[in-house]
Amino acid sequence: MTSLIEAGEGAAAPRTDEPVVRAEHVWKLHQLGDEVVKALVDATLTVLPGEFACLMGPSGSGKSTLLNMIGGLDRPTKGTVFIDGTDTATLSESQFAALRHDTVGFIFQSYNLIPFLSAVENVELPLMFEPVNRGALRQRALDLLDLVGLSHRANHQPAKLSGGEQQRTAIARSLIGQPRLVLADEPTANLDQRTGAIVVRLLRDLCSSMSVTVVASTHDPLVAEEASRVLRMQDGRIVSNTNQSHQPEA
Amino acid sequence: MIAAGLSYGMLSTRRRARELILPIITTATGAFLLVQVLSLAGSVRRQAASLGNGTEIYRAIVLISVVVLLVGVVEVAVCTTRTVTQRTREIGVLGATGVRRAPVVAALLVEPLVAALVGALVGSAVAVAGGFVLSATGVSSTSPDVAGTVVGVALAVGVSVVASLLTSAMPTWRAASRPPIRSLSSGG
Amino acid sequence: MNHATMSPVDAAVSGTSGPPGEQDTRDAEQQAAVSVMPAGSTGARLLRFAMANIARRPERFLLSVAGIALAMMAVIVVRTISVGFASSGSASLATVLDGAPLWVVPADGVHYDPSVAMLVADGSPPALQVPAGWHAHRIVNGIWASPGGKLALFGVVGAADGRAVLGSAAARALGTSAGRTITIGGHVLTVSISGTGKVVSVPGAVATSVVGTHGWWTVTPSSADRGRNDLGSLLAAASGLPWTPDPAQHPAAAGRGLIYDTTGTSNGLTFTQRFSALFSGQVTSSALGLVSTVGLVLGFVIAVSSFLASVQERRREFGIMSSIGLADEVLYFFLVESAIVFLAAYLAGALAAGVAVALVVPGLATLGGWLQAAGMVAAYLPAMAIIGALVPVHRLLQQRPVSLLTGSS
Repeated sequence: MTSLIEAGEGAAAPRTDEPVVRAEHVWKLHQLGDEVVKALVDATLTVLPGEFACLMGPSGSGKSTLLNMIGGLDRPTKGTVFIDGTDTATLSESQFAALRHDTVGFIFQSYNLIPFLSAVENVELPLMFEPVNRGALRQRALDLLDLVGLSHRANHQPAKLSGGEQQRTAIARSLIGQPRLVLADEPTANLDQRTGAIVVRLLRDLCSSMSVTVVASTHDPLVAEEASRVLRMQDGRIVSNTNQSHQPEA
Repeated sequence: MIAAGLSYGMLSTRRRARELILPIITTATGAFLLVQVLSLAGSVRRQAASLGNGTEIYRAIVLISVVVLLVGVVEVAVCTTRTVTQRTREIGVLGATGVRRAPVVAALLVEPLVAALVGALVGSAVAVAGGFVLSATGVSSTSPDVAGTVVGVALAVGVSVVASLLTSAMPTWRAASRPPIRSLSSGG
Repeated sequence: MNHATMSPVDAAVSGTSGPPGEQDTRDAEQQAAVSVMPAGSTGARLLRFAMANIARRPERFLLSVAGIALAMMAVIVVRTISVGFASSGSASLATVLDGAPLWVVPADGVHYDPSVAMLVADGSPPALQVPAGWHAHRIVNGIWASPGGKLALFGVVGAADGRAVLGSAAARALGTSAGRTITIGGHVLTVSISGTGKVVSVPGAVATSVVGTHGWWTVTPSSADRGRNDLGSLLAAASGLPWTPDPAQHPAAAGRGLIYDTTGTSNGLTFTQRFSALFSGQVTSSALGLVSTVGLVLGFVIAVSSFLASVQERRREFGIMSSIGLADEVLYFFLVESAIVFLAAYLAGALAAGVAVALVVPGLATLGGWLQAAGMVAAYLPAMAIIGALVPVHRLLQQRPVSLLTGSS
């Protein structure tokens, strides 16, 4: 299946200087029995608009934890996280939800689709509770499904979709709110290589043609290849930060 | 937004209809018991009075009614905790996609409410019909009492609905207030 | 969740160790599951495992035990009352008949007074002619408002031995004991104790002076006629009164009285049994017997419902156990947990029922009745526990470990 998004070289939106995400000296500690687990140790990270950043590392390196911090799914024990300029520590859980809603789209390793909703309804989900026009919402959802190549499966429930199709539905869902930032937690981990490649290319094309910033955590080298920036993590620390984009660093 | 939550709730209840079977059966059985006891209470008391046991039987009936009422409340609670556990992941997904807490809670209260209402009505209907059939065919020598039946049905429906709302609201509220990652990774 | 009592398995499964990515969680869980399987005999291991799981979610355990216990309590309360009725009926009848096969009651009938747990006559018995050689005892009967409370008073007309025979409860109420004297109706009598009820037996003249002429006859046939099965009709012919073998029949208000023939059986039930059935049957069996059956069903349904909930929660955990070859353990574990829940619920429910009946309807609460009721319910326990455990486990074991582990169904 070829990419449905035209990815022209240099077709990326003009970069601004304001980072989409800034994490400064973030720590995350957990209590596990009698031990204290250091999931994140003094992590500092900046993601600029239009980047396709990739957090790489083995199990337990903290990449998913860091991703959850950036996306507002969890709060740091110490340190500050700025999403789109706002300090997340100042937000209540409800405001946090609002921020997530307007700024961030999520893609999970296990898709997390709602089992009793069809694909198109799952795509609509983030906006289903907003006072938007139902018809326009349905149309936008169908357009997004078309974008990811799943128009023919719009009315199927997740149980009837393959892993790759579920993940693509999840990608479409992450875009419905026109977010600035899309976070993908091990997006290809449950997929075979061919399907995984399709998903990764889809994510890359989102960056370049829809001016969306993507941050993915993974241990799949395929994802790292397509990314514009790779951050390697180990034992909760960021150990390297490499720019791989074809464009010069800002 | 609450309205949207409620319509999501109705949609989910329709689609998850199979999951409602057990809660409806449990609520119906509890309602059946309560309506039975209260509708037959009147004539049981009259017969007992003729045998000289009036006060004692009255107190026995009150005791049994209270116990059956409590059983009804507890079994509703058992069913709703099961449902909330099942839907924890769903709550996590809704939270992760940025839906606010209030519509999520409203949405998840629809199913237990519907189950309680349907269950209580079904149980009451079976009890009322059963009572008439039994006394008409002479199998039972006690005949149902209209006032008692009405009280029984009202109590059964009222208690079931209130119990299910109270017992679902709290855990759903708690689950929707946690950072979504907890609900997402707790499975179910 | 209660952090203090969490085991590493708990933490891994509940995700409290943080969201390190799902593959990491699975690895950690597998490690933890293997390391926490307690050593020791299978039974002890399963028991400890079950107790640990209960401690993990005490509120759910308590809720399901409470539900089942309440259902069982309702059933046992109903059955105890029912048995209480029956035994009170038959006990008082036995006292009245005192071995005589025929009982002649006045036109106004008799009723059962629960405050003294005894039958009481509502009118004066008719004049009675009996066949030759037969013996008839005219019994005076009524409620005596004694200094110690209401007591049932009996007097055999013609007996005058200066004795008052008290049941032990009556003796306690009057504050007297064997050998002492007591004054009733102006007569001084010597006390002796026999039986346990709130009953006082005095000479006929004394009884008449206290409670009037209400009472009945008990009739014994001559030794020649003893084995006959038509005693009722013989007495009816001699006395001109109607007779019946059916305790449900009442004497005609306008007539002179009714003869009850207590010999013979109907539908395999003796007169005494049918009389007891009057107490428990008319009043309770059809209505409340239904309640008790449905109550048992309800208890069972509650149990299954809560087991299904616990299965749902712990799918991953069982997937892990299954994947490392402990599939059988899953089943045994559930049987053990089901047994614990049902046993706890039964004990709680039976005790609560006993206390409730003793407090609310003490006149009907007898230890024997409670034991009988509790025993009847106990008979259902094994079947309920086994089936209650099998229903959820059956579905669980049908799924492959992989699907349990990944959380898809």
